Amino acid sequence: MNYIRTFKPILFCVLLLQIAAGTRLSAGEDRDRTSGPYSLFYQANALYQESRYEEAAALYRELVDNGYESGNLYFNLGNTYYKLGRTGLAVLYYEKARRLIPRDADLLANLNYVLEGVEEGIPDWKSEFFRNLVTYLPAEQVVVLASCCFFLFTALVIAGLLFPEKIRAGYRSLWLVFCSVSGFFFLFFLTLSGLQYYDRLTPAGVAVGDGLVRYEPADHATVHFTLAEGSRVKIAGEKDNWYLITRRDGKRGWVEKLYIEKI
Amino acid sequence: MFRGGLRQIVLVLVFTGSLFSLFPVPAGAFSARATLEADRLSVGEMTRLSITVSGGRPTRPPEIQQVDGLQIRAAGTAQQFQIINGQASSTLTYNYSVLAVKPGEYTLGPYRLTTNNEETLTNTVVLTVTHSPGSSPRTGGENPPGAPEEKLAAEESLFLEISLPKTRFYLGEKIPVTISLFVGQIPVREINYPVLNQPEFLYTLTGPPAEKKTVINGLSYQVVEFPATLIPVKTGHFVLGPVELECTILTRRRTPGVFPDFFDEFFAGYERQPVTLKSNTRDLEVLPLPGGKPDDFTGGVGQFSLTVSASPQEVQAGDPVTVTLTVTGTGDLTALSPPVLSAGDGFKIYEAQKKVPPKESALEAVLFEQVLIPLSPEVNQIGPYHFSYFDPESAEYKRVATAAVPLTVKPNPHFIVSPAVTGTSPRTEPSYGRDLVFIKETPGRLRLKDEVIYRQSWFWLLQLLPVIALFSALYYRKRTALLNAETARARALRAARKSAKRLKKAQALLEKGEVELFCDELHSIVREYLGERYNQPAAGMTGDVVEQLKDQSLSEEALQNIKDFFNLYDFYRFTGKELTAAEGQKLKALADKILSA
Repeated sequence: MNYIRTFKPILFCVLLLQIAAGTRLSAGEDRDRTSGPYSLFYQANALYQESRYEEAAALYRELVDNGYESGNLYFNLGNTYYKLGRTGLAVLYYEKARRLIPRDADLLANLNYVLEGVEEGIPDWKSEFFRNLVTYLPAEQVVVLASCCFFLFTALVIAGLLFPEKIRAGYRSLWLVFCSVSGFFFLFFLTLSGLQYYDRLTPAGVAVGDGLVRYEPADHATVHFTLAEGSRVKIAGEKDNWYLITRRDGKRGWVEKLYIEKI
Repeated sequence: MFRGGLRQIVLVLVFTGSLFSLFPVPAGAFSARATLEADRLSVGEMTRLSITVSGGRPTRPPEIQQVDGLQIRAAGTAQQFQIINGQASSTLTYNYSVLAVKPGEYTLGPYRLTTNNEETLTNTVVLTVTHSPGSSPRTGGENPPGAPEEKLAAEESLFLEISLPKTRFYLGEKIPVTISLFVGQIPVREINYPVLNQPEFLYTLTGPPAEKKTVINGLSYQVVEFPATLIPVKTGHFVLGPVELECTILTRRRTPGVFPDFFDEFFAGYERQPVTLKSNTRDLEVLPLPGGKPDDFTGGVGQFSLTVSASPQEVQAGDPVTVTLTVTGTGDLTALSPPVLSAGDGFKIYEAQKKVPPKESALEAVLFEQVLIPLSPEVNQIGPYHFSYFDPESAEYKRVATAAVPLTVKPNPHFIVSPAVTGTSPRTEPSYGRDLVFIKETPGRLRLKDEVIYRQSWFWLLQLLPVIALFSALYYRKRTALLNAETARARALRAARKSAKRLKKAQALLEKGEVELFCDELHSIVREYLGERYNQPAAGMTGDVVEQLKDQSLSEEALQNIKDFFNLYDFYRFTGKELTAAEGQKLKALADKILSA
């Protein structure tokens, strides 16, 4: 009971934040469907259902070109491009969606389905583990979680400084547990955020056509391998009209820029 | 004493040996010689092959090829040092155990040995292997039917044989094979199950091994038969085998000497020798299934029969009936799809489920259970069910069908047929497979890309709040600790804080015109301030306190102010002269100077 009395203000604040967040979300969902970006989205959905994929893609693209983004928007655009036979663009938008809704079951199912025939090579377990780690949570969520843990940890330390006798009298173990947990998660999310930042220092891309990967950035250079449409690559460098790409299995080479779209 | 001397001798020997092994041996040219401990063996006996190298140290051991009819295994190395006429030399011997598996004359070697810059070949050695004593083959002996002919010629004492009923099969056909281990005169222990690693076939052992005895070419054999099945999963020409089997054989070491047989008989020790036997191989052809598959072909290749039962057979409309379909046969039952219900009108039909047959069933069978719901009392039978399979014996597709199962359906006034479930309209076959998951109906968190929280400056400014709060708390903590301490500085701070608060109240008295009260309060503030700050008793403090404060490093001016304050206060207090506001201000000015000193 004592615990409840002590943490009542904290619980109250959390409740307020929840209500505020809920109100914001529901306000977003209930926006007017007849105007603005939401209207475009629903129009595009209707066109997709009528199998008018070209027109649906154009509307979804209009939203993207106007600077809007959401996991669902990218997902729908990926579906539309796949229906249009553009595997590369479908993978590109699924990967964009993955950055916002990384654990969405529909998204993962569609991405796996589209990538079934795409020869990407077999990545080694270390790079696969790293990739799964950095894509498990969206970057924004990681930053917010790190911030929340930081606030909580600092609040607990301040409470320890201001009310040492009270904490020593009855809440010492609880205070220690909360401090350790919030401190640990703060460091964890901070590290994860750093890893995500590090991962994005090397831009990723998707092959939007079957391109020839050469040993040198020149048309006459020897071909190393063929990059299948839909292959996901890392862009390690660029020179004139060429990208130096690294495939998931570690194969590197130069490919013309027109074959690669950055995620 | 003796023990210490022995230790010294051993140490000297080890040291000498180490020296020889460290330095290259100059004596003699690089050469190698192969020798056999015994050059005549009976089947099941073992001898030692030694390759002795002198005049150099090979970079690696000789490559010993396995010889059909013998089992050769490495048995370690030995090194020997010699000093003859002051010249040191060493030899290195590679030892191998040679086990005789079948009779014959075998030539072993020559074996190649190389140093960094030299190469040499050993001599060859001949090993003769005869039948075990008392088991010489009888010419014209009766062979059992089906005995492997090539083995008869080879007259082996331990071999593995795979037998097939024919050489042409169809894709998916279940092929019964027998893998037989023939054990002649060699004692064999720890027989493992035979293994076949061939991706073109699904290989399954189907039962426990059976033992029997047989005579081949006059020789008696113990035969262990492993029943198994193969299911080809690819078409084309293949070589089946070899099947491998691991076992341990007990061997007698053949000792050379004048009376080898005598000593072998009495002192021969048996050794356990693990061996891997390889069977013969068989050529076979796997054919694809011919075209013209019937619509109800369920993937079965073999010969099958179908029985059907339903329970209950008397129901009300809308009540479920469970139909059990049992398929038995010789083919691969795991690959079968459920039989097809030919007349499904008047039923709501659920998909048939494959069930595991009861374990006590002796027959190889697969069960399917299908739930049907009769929709009207007009339905009077279930089925018939049917399916087609490919019969590899006649090389054609065959159809098997059951008779219809009678069913009595009573009217049910509580059962209303939903139009969606009536079986009267022709059913469209659903298309199974994989496809994209449908698009999202809602846009989710649709926002501008720049609205991401970590791109907002307010978010990062917000992160400063806890830092500032933390530093403030630290400062507060330090300040509190300082104030609570019993030091001169802490006392000064405490006194200054208290007096500053009280001065404000006193000022209010002056503003109200209560000058006397103001002076008393002022006097009390100054006394307590001086008392706390300089650790003096505050009660009864007068201008004489200056004498006690002289050693507190106060300036002359400050001391004079204190003296003046107390003198002035005492003057008004004890003379009874009425205080004016101006005089009150004068007293306050003095008090301010004291408090700020």
